[in-house]
Amino acid sequence: MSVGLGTEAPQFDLPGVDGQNHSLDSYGDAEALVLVQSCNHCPYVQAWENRLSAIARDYADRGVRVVAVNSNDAANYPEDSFEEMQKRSSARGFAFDYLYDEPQAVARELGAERTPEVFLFDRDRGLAYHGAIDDSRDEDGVSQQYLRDALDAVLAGREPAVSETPAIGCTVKWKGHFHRARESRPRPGERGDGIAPLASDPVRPRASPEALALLEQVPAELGGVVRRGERLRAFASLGLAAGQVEIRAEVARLELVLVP
Amino acid sequence: MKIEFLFWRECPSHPEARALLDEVLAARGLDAEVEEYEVKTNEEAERLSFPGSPTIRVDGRDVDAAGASSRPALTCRIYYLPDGRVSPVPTREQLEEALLK
Repeated sequence: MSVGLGTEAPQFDLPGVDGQNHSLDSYGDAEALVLVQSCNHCPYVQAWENRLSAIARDYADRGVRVVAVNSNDAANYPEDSFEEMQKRSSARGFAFDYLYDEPQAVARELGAERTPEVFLFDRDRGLAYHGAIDDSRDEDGVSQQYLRDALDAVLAGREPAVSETPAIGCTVKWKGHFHRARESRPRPGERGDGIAPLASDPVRPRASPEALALLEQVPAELGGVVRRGERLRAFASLGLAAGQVEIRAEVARLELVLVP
Repeated sequence: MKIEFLFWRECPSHPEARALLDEVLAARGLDAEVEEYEVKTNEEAERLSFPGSPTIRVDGRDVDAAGASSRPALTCRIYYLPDGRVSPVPTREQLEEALLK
């Protein structure tokens, strides 16, 4: 789940394809800051990247900075490595900064789910608009310029008329979200191999009190980002080893299975 | 005619591609069964030489031969429009050409 409107921009200090590090403070002079969860390999990103460059150019004189952030797991998606980012930025002549969030911290703090996904922060760095760049991946079919309209509003000191839209695109590629064959894993309810199922009913979890307590902590632990099939790594504070818990359904319908 | 429709659920393009495929089949009066297969794991992607979602094969031939040899992965597949722009779904023309061969 993404952060809500008004939420402060996350702190970051990330390497850019220009060879420089860029932090939130380094954009301190900007009248508005557009963070776009992005990457190289996604066709939705590629379909929109020229329009993002055009927005960066068109609004530069008005003090807007556009920053694309790639947080994807480059180990499993090598097209999204920093080197490939540099190549693509150069080849396509990006008019926006393009930063590499290797630790995935920015994506996690934003609660980003898709690429591309826009987070527009106003002068005070509160989230003013979140969602899509416009309403059509085909630029010939665009009828609503969500980001441009939101920028115009923010620069005029107004709230955007449309402040949230669904971001359509590829999923953010989280580390530890490498899909493996299920045959090697226990299924819910299986026993006899040292694996203890915590809950097995995907609709009404029959979880133990400990498991239910664990569920309540999951969204906060991951900044609200929990997806079907996601293997979680941030469970140290919950007394579980990294990678020990796998989410096999949405939070509201969660079944948890301890895995080796 | 055997039509295979392979997709990965996390990529949002497959419903649009499937609808386009059905539309082309109906428009051309082709009564062919479409076998849908959801690719869920990297191992499956490797085994099926799945270059991304969606992938459509007619009698074993990919509707976009140029993209068929991309690295197998759970990802959204890139298709190229005639003007060089990219799309997450094949074009109507690509589907028609593959189906009418």
